Amino acid sequence: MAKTKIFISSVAEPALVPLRREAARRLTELGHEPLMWEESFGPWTTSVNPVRKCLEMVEASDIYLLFVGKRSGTYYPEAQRSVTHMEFIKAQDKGKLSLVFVDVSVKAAYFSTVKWRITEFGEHITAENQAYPEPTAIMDYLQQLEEVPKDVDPYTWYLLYDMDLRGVYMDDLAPGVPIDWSQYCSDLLRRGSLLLPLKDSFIENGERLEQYDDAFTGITSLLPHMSVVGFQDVDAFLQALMGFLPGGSIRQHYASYMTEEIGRYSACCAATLYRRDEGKMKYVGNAGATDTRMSFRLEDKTSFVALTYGMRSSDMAVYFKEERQMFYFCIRSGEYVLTLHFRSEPPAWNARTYMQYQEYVNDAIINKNPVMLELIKLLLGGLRHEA
Amino acid sequence: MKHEVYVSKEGQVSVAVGDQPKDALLFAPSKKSTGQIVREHRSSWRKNIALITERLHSATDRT
Repeated sequence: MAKTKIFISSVAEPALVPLRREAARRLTELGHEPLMWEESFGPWTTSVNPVRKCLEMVEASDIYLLFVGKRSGTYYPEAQRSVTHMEFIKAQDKGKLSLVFVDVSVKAAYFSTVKWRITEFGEHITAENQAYPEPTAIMDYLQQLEEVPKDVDPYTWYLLYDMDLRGVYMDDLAPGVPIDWSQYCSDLLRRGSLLLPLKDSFIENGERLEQYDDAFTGITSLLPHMSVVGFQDVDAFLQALMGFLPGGSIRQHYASYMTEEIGRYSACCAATLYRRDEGKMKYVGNAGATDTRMSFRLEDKTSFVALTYGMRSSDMAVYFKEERQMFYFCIRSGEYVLTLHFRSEPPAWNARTYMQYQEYVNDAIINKNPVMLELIKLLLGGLRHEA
Repeated sequence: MKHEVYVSKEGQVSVAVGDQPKDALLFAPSKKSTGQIVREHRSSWRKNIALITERLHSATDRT
């Protein structure tokens, strides 16, 4: 029966040696197979590059375990990374389950003092040079700061920052407090036991999704070869379309860490369709409660229909009017502009909140069902123009 | 990076800055087309499915 291979990574720091040995001993006792360069990589010839060998072993492992103390280990200028950092990156790239333990004093100093300094420096340099600073520049900067502890290698802060950006949880590594490996392994066993029985369902869902996607690809590649004659009942078409557009949550994203609800919008309450006819956008149909105008001049800057038709940079936009508390999602396809109306839910939005959160409004409304929107665009774009 | 927000008022379109009248029409064009969004989603879930399938097979392989 295959054993769980656990790669144990850390810099060659005297304080971490007993910890590595104890972890390897205990994990072996529990029936697993620890991988450590000093014990399990076996003899290698001078032709074998030690860094490559370590990275291969990370790839061959099932779990990646990392201890971070004060030292950062060997820095490879050509890679601009330390070997420990490269092992960590390899584990992330290969989707390995990673357990990371960081010295409690280093972790506390990182979160209280160092993290915001690196963020600030990175933003400053990026704004100045249009490029993120290299690790050596960050290390040089940190070394100049009095408040940054000098007994920690500067590269260690950079490693922690990278782990933090990737959303990797850092567990505490406290002197004299042993790590309960049986508890960790039991928790992993529980998590695996919940998921493994679902294997067939996962695979079936994947296959079904591929079938739906193939059907969508087929429809989208066939439609341009057809001439869609026209609407049998344009208002009924728009009414049916509204049924596919429920309300939802507008969420602010904090990188990949979390999201927070900043507002909500109700289900699509109205839809209108206009088509360009010479210098005007002329009414084609509507559904729901709207104030319908029969046409807009193309140069009418008060009309979201005319503005969307004339846009050069994009074929869709979300508009907002405070006095109506309404989001208007306009999509241009060919000679048509479709507008979908979504009421913002209380508390009331104002111009400032819209300006602050517009990217999240766009994301919430446009990303709700882009497949459906793409299909609608193709249908409208393929409509034959009637004289 | 945030896209600029525009405002249409009194028949003119400009970049929206500061307070705006309640009847102002504010808008921000989408950074991506629906086609781009759909392509990105498809590419992402295809990779996810391949990874999940591979992992499930190796997790249940008893050889």
